[in-house]
Amino acid sequence: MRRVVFLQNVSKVFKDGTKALDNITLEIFENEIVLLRGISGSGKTTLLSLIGALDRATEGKVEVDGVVVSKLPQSALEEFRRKNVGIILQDFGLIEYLSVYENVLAPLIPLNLNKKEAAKRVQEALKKANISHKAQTKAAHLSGGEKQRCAIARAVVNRAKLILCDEPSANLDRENSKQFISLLQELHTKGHTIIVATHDPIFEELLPTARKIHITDGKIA
Amino acid sequence: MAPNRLYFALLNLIREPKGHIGITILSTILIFFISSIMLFSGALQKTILTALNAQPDFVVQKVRGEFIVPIKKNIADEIIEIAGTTNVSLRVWGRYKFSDTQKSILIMGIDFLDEQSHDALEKLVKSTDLNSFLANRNQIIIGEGVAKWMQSSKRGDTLRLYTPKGRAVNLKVFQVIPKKLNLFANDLVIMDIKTAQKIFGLKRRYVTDITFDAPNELEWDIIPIKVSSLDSDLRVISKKESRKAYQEMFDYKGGFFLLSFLMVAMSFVMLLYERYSQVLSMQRKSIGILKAIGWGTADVLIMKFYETSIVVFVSFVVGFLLAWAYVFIFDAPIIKEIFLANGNFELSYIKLYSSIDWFSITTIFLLFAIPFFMAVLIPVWKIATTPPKEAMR
Repeated sequence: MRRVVFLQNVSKVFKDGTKALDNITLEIFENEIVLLRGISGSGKTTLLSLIGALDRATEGKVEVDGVVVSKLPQSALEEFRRKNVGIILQDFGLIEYLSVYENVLAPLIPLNLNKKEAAKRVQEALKKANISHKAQTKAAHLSGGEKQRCAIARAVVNRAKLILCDEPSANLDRENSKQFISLLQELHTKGHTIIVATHDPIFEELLPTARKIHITDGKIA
Repeated sequence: MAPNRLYFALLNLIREPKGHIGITILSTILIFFISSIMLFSGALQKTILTALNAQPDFVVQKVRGEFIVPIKKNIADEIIEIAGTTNVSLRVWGRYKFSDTQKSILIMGIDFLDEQSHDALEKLVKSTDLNSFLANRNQIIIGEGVAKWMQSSKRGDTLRLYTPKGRAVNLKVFQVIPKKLNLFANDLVIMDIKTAQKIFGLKRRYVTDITFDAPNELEWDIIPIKVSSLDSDLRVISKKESRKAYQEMFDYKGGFFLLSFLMVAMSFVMLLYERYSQVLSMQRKSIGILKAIGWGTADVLIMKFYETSIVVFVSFVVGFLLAWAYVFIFDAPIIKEIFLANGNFELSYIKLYSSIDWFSITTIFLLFAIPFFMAVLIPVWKIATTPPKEAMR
């Protein structure tokens, strides 16, 4: 199986001296679902940020899809992120005043695609997340479940194979969390590699085959 | 439209206008205010300088103890003899005040049969039916301000003036001076020189000043010396000096205006910075989200640059066009009152020449746009370089 993520002796120390990650070594393979488990402040979100090229490791090597992202300059890091990683943020991170279509279109803006190609990709993503019928609705007017779908559509619109989810069920009830997990499973069947940082036990319950990685005090337990 | 950063900037402005409307209105008012003053002062300058260009090259007066006193007509014959002089004309002029209304008119008595050194007067004389006009010495040509005033004060077409000895002189209006000369002709009453002498109680051999032209500008320095040598009390004023004095006055006012603008602009920038800090704190989360979903710092800055450009452009164009309409279509009420408050007649009769000074427009635009961009892009850059998670908090 192809290795998608490889972390070797990775540490992250914040400016205030807090050690968020301590000598992490980890491999994640293609089409895996991985649950990063741990209590708040354990370092799982920081780990997700390093894999998603949102932040840099203080030490060690971070390799994603064969590219050593920890050595990339800032502009290349941004370029890498926009083309290879789909991110579902905590609370879904939608821009409330924009419509579903415009939110999903947003990651494509820096890619400078032509109108036709961009529209094609957005429609494709909306269909994949089953939210096409709400394309023109403002994000502020969506229900919790619809917001999840919109966030998923946005995460896959750049056709990234690696999807990262940061505490996606933080503000969801059990029913919406179940729906979300079922959508992740659909993406998984379509070949996406999915990494979820969560402390919600529902993920373990509904994704029994997912690999679980427990993080405690910045270390893999 | 291709889905690029400009498209996204427009989306932001259309979907979330409330953060920008207040700033756009404020900026439009600032530009309107500054542009109105600039356009008005530019137009006034052009109008005055145009009128000044139509003046004779030289005006000769007799000054004694700092007072202008009547000058003997025969001095004109001596000026004619000076090489390089031409169009030597006699004038009798002065203010005549109506004690009942406190209004005053400017009386200008000329010899209509002479060649006029004043271009505008020359044009006026040429366009006047002299046979009819001179058939009755007590006929006058009046400025539009005087005409309106006569109409409103029910004086009909006859103006009754009194000589210093108390003798009434009834003057009948022959025609009204064309409007385009109105800045100088607004309160002007032109009449035959002999009638003017009668009104001011001057003897026939005296006038108030003598005007002449000197076509060769190289002689403009020497001719006044020659004229002054005829009589030590003679004062020669050249058009060049008047123009320079006006120009200096406008330059001084321009500098003062620029300083005032800088002060207003600085206050505006502080206000803008304060206002945009609030707007950006609301947008902080959006910027963090965009960064997290793949936007680079440059992408965010370019998008915000477009957004700001649209606000700056709209404010500037709308503010400037409103100012242009205010000055040249609605004739600059209020500002006109402030600038020209010492006129005797209705200011609405003064028509300004439309003039656009590109240098001033560019200066205003740059002094407005550069601080505006700085007030927006520096905080945006600070947010955009913050890690997305931190920005979204």
